[in-house]
Amino acid sequence: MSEERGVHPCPQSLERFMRAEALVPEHRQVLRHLLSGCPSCRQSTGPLWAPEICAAPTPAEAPSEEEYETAISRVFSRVLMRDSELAGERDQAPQLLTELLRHPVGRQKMIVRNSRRFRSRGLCELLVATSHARSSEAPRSARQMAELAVVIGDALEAAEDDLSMLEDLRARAWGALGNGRRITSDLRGAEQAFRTAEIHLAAGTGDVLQRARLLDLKASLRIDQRRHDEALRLHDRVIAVYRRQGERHLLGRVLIKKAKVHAEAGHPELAVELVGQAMGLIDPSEEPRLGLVVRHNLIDHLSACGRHREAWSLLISARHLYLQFGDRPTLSRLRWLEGKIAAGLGRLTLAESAFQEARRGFVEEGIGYDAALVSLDLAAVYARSGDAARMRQLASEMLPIFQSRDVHREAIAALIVFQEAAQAELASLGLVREVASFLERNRHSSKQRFEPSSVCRPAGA
Amino acid sequence: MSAVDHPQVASSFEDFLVRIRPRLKSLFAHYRIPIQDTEDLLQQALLALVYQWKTVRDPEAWILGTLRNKCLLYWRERCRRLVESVDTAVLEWMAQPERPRQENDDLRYDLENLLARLPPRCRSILVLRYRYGYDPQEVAARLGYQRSSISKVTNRCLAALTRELVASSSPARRKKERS
Repeated sequence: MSEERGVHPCPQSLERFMRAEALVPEHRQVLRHLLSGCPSCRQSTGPLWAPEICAAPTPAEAPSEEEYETAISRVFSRVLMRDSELAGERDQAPQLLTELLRHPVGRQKMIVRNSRRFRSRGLCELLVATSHARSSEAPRSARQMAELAVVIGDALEAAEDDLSMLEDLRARAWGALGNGRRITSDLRGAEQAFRTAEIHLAAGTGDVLQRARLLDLKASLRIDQRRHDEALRLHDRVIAVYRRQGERHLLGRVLIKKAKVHAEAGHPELAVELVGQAMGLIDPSEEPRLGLVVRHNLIDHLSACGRHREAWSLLISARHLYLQFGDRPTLSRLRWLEGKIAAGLGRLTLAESAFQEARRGFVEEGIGYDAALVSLDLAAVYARSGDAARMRQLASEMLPIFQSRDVHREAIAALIVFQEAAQAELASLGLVREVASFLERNRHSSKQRFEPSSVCRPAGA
Repeated sequence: MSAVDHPQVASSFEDFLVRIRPRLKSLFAHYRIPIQDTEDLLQQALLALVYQWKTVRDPEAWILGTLRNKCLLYWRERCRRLVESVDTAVLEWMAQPERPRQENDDLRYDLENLLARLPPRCRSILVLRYRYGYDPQEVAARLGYQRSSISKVTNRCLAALTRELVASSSPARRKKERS
C-alpha cells in the first residue's frame, strides 16, 4: 500500500475513480494516492468534482462534438418515432371517447377494463383534459371522466423507457380524480386521490411542472377544507416553480387563485395587489376567458375593499369583454358585479334591478349556488331599505328553486334559517351577510353546519 | 385533439428539434455528460416533452431547464456514489489492523492530515467515525446532535472530506466552511 501512495494513477484511472466507476482495487489504489495529498493529481480530479464541474477544462475522456452529434441524432430518431405513434393514439381518442360515452355510466368502466382498444394513452389524456374542462360547469361529469382516466391509466402498460412517463400520466389522472372528488364535496376521497397521485408522481420523471400542477389542485382542496394557510403555502411553491420555469401565464393563473384565498380570508386588499400582478402576466390569446376572469376578480376585490368608484370605472372599461363572450352565465355575472358595486355606492334601486336580473339568469341556467348567493345580496338590499314584504316574498320563492337544484344540504339548511327569519320579519342585514358568507365558504363542502352568531340569531332559532 | 391539427403539432415538434439541436449539444458538452448517459437523459426528457407537448407553453425553456436539472442531478448522484465509496474504503482500512506498521502509520498520518484541513465540526465527527468506529447515533449522543439530524450532518462532512481529498478548495470557501 505504501507503494500505491507514491504511484500516480493515469488520467483515465482518475476519471473512472471520480465517476465512481473504478473497480475496487483501482478505486483503493487511487484513493490511497489521493490521501497522500498529491497536488498534481488533485489538479486533475478537482475539475471533475461537481458542481464546480461546470467551469472545468475538458478532461481526458470528455466526448467530442461529433460524438454528441451522433448521440443526439440517435435519440431524435427514436423520439420522432414515438411521437408519430402517439399522434395516432391521440387522433383516435375523440372517437373512442364518443363510443365510450354512448354506454351507461356503470358499464363504461367495465368496457375500458375488458377491451384492449380503450386502453390508450391518448384516450386517458383526453379524459383528464375533459375532466378539468368540465369541472366548473358539470362537476359530476368531470368526476366520471377522471374515474375512467384512472382505470385506463392503471391498465396501461409501458416499455421500460416509458415507465416514468406512464407514472406521470397516472399522477395526472389521479390528480384529476382528486379534483373531481373535491368539486363533488367528497373531500376525504379527494385527499386519498391526491396521495395516490403523489405516489405515482414520485415514480415519474420528476418534471417540476407536473408537480406544480398537482400542488395547484391540492391547494384548491386545502381552500375547500378551510386550511387557508396550507393553501397559501402550496400556492407559493407553485408560484416559485412557474417563476423559475418562465411560465408567465400559469404564474398569473395561480396568482389569481391565491388572491381568491386572501379575499375569502377577509384580506381583499392583498387580493387586489396579487390580481394586479397577475394582470401583467396573463396572456389572453392563450386563454381568452382568463383575461376576463382576471378583470372580473380585480373589480370584485376592489369592491370588497370599499373602493367602489374605482371598481365602477374599471367595470365600464371591461364591459365589452363580457359582451364579447355573451353567454348567459357571463352576462349574469356582469349584472351581479354591477349590483354589488351599486349597493356599495348606496344606489339601492340600481343594485336591486341588477341583482334581480342576475338571479333570473342563474336560475334559468340552473346555476343554483350562484343564484342563492345573488338572492342573498338582493335580500341585503331589502334589509337596508327596510322592505320586509319584498324580503318575505324573496325568501318564499328561494327554497323551492334551490331544493330542486345542485345546492347541498347544509346550504339549504342555512337558507331555511334565513327564510324563517324573513317570514317572521326578523332577518337582519347581519344574518343575511352571515348566511351569504357561509355559502361562499362552503361552496364545495357540505361538512360544516350553519350556526348563526347570537347577535344575528333570529328570536326562537 | 382533432385529426386535423395533429400534423401541425408533429411538424412543429420536428422544427423544434432542429432549432434546439445546437443548444442541446453545448449543454451536454458544458456539463460533460458521457455519451451513453447523454442518450438516456435526452431521450427521457424529450419523451416527457412529447407526452405533454400541448401543455408546455415554452418548450425550449422547458427542455433546457429540465436537462440542466437532470445534468445537475446526474453529477450529484455521481458525487454521492463517490463520497460513499471513499467512506466505505476508509472504514475498511481502519478496520484492518494486520497491515505492516509502516503502512498503517502512513495511512493514519495522511488521514489525520486530511481531517485537519476540515472545519472543526466535521473533524470531530469524522475522528469519532474513523478512529473510534462510532456509528452516527453514537456520534450524535457524544457530540450533542439531534438523532434525527446526525445522518444529514455526517453526509455533509463526508462530502467535505471527499472534496478536500480530490479538489483544492479555495481559501474563501474554506473560511466560509470554518465559520
